[in-house]
Amino acid sequence: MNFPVINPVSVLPEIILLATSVLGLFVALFLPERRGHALNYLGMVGVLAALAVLPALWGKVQVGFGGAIVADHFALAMDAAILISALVAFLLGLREVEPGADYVALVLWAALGMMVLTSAVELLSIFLGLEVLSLPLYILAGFRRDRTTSKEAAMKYLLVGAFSSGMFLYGLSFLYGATGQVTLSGIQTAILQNFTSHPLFLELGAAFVIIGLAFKLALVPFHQWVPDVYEGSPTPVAAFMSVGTKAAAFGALARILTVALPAGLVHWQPLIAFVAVLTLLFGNLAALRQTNMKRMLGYSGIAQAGYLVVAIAANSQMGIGAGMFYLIAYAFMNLGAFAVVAALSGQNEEGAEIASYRGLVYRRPWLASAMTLFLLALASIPPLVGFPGKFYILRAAVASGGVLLAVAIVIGTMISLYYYLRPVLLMFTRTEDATSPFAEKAHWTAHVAVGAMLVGTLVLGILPGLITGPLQHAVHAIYGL
Amino acid sequence: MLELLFFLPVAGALLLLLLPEKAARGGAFAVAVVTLVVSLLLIPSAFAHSGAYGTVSSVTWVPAWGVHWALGLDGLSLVLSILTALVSAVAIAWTPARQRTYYVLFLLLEAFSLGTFLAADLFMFYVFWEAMIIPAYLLIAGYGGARRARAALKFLIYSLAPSLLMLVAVVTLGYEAFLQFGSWNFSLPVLRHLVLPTSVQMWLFAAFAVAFLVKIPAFPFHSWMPEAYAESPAPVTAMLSAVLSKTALYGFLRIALPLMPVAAHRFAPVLGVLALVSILYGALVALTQRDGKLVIGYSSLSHLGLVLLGIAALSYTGLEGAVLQMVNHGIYAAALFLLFGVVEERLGTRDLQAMGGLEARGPILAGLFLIAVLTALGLPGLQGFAGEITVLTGVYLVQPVWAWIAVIAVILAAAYFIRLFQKVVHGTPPAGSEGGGRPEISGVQIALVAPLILLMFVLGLYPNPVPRAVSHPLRSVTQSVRVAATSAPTAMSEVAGK
Repeated sequence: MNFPVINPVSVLPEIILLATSVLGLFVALFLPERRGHALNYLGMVGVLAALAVLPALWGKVQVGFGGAIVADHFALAMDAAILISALVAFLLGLREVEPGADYVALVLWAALGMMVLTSAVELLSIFLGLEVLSLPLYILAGFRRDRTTSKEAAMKYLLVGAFSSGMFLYGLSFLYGATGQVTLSGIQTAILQNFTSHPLFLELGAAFVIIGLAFKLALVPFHQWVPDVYEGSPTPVAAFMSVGTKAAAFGALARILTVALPAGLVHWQPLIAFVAVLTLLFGNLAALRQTNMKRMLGYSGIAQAGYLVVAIAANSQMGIGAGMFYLIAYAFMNLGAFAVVAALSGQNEEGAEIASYRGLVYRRPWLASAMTLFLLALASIPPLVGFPGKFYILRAAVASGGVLLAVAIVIGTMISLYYYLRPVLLMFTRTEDATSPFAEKAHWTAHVAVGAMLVGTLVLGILPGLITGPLQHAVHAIYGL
Repeated sequence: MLELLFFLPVAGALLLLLLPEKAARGGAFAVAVVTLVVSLLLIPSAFAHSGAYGTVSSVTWVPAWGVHWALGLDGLSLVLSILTALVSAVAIAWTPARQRTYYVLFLLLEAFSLGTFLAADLFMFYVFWEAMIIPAYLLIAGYGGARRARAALKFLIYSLAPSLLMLVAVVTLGYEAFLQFGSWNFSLPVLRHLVLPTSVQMWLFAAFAVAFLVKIPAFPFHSWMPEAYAESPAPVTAMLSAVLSKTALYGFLRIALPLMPVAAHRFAPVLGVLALVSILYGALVALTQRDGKLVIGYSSLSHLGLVLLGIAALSYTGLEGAVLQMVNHGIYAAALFLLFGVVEERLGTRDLQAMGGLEARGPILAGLFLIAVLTALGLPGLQGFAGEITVLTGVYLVQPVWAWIAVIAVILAAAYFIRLFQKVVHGTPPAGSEGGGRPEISGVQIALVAPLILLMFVLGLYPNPVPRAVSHPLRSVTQSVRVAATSAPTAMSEVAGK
């Protein structure tokens, strides 16, 4: 009997995360309960170690598990975004959730699942990654057991998530049934050589796969869980979910659609384009009416996912590159915004209402200025990172002949100006009311998170060329160039 | 050297963060003056001709996207840069002792405005064009009057939303460069070689024009203006009117006309009509305002309409007059807003009914105000006249009817400016206002405004330096437009033939 070649190097970052989580659980046995938060630092070390490994893996494609896992440039680039969001989850977690070993291990496992999802090139491994990322997130969403909203969030997320996993698996079964192949490249070959055998199954399979991942990406009309879950979950978890899950699902979607399903033969492109436009319009319109900061960020996240999917709809190398750039940009600005929310509110999630940001710049100048920059970046105003991101996507859309997609993005962005800038305005409005709904002092790690995200937002905004080159390699990896 | 003009105010803004709060005003003023000196030192290099620009400095910014960090200087950008640096230096030190943030934002506003005038790459132009809005917005929101929050948000959304359509146009131009030349490129001199079908030119021109018309502002896109102008502190209003409006008019000259010349011909009648409506509407509303600041604001709407009319004429004389009038308006609008700001500050109101008797209580202020008002209404011998007469000549040669209509506004200008002057300066002070502070200008402010007043006389008696500086760039614009007119005959083709 032949066993597949494992090649542990291909999953080295994943192994580091797993080892850290096991170590954390073990150490927790000997730690007094009130010292549990110290494990957060262990989590940070683990994530940083995994991040440090990424550049070492860059350059040579590592294939593992008999070809089921590929640590190529594309996977590594997405892993970077995932690890950054996990790092922020730990930096913010110190005060917000009173973490113990369970919090640390769950975040690490979810990140592990996300990273498997981005590097899997075989149907079962893809599904495995999806499940490994989902299960810890169900628990994390309900981490604040003392709060009803948190429990409600966990329940909603679990039900919707289970449903979407089912859809996704169903889609995979169609792809397998139509082609008899389990690897993405095998499916592609089968389609290219023998297209007419089961065209309907392929179309259905593509549609179900898209729907399954659309739940994770929070695309309209599969988005209803997002605002409730973001509002109910602890802020660090919401931040982690908003970026990490999106990065993983984007990675999987981009890989499956571009590698396995040639757009000329399987007609997923109109569906993706339609969903993208629907998402960015709906997300932006719904965000207009929000009064709660986290809900607003939730709907804004839906809209941002819409921009991201436009990049996939462009169905070109430039489009994938634009999507990856946008995802990294989104990681910095969105994690930054969530970090400010977390740094402002203490244990009890006070001050989540946008109205309580009134006059903030006169009370907490540093956090308010940072929040201003994050919101301006989300509104894609230069010279912040959101602008080159938007520019890149527009460029891809125009170059693929999708001027109408470009116009849809512009209309969505116009709408978004109002809700991104209204909190800015409030923060700069003086108020007589001196009482602040916010916690007195944030944990220092929260400030580190805000600062780090701010540096990313500014530096990549002014010098986007720093990562466009590496991303080009990542795009080539997925296109097999 | 060219970079210095942009980076000096940026570096100054960062340095201010380190200075103590008390030294902020002096530090900011020093930075602004040095910037002005640099802009004056650049005069020779603007005319060292090599291709489209006198001097260009270009570094690849984002190689994968074909985006360059490229600054270019020719007579047109030089004249407007000097204007920006001058008005900024005067305005930044105008009001005493504000928070440090105010000066930081002000210097950033100056830097980004200079950036738009210097950008030789369309992508950079867009970046500066958008970035400029943020400090302006924060200045209004942070330091404006009672209803500043609403005014600031309105300004922001009006400014940003149309710019986004412009972004699609920018990207499309870069893509056209890719299709025609093989690589993405946003360099303005390169983009001028594009050959674009008329239909594409039409929508591109429309996307740019709407963004520009909002920023000028021109009818019917001006509805952000009254609130923003009224609620901003006087130096910020001066910047909005004297400098930011010019970035939009400059956009027509630098981008819209030369890159989309055929569309410029098609749209010229539309622009002309909008300009005429702006001219008349602004003048009529200015006649009826009780708020003195809005009289000046609507007079700007009217006068900038005249500039737009000169541009819409598409003839060399029209463009020449437009630039002359841009410079003139920049100087007298800044002076008017700043001087009226002093009146407002001392009397605590902008209501013209509650003013009067300034001649007795503040004779120097009244005298300076008189000079500025006479300049603004176009008295021959002062600087406003030269621009007006050149625009009207340029327009008359092309569309005599437009010129006749525009002349009405010149008459109305005399009416509303003299009304403003009478209400503020003559008459008796309203009862109960004697208790207020002495409405006289301070020595520092006299020294600050002196260069502007001086220029009103100098450029009034000898306006030649401006037309001479811009002759080369404007000839190249009219050249593009003329070529387009002969290759694609339209109703306006005889225009360019003149």
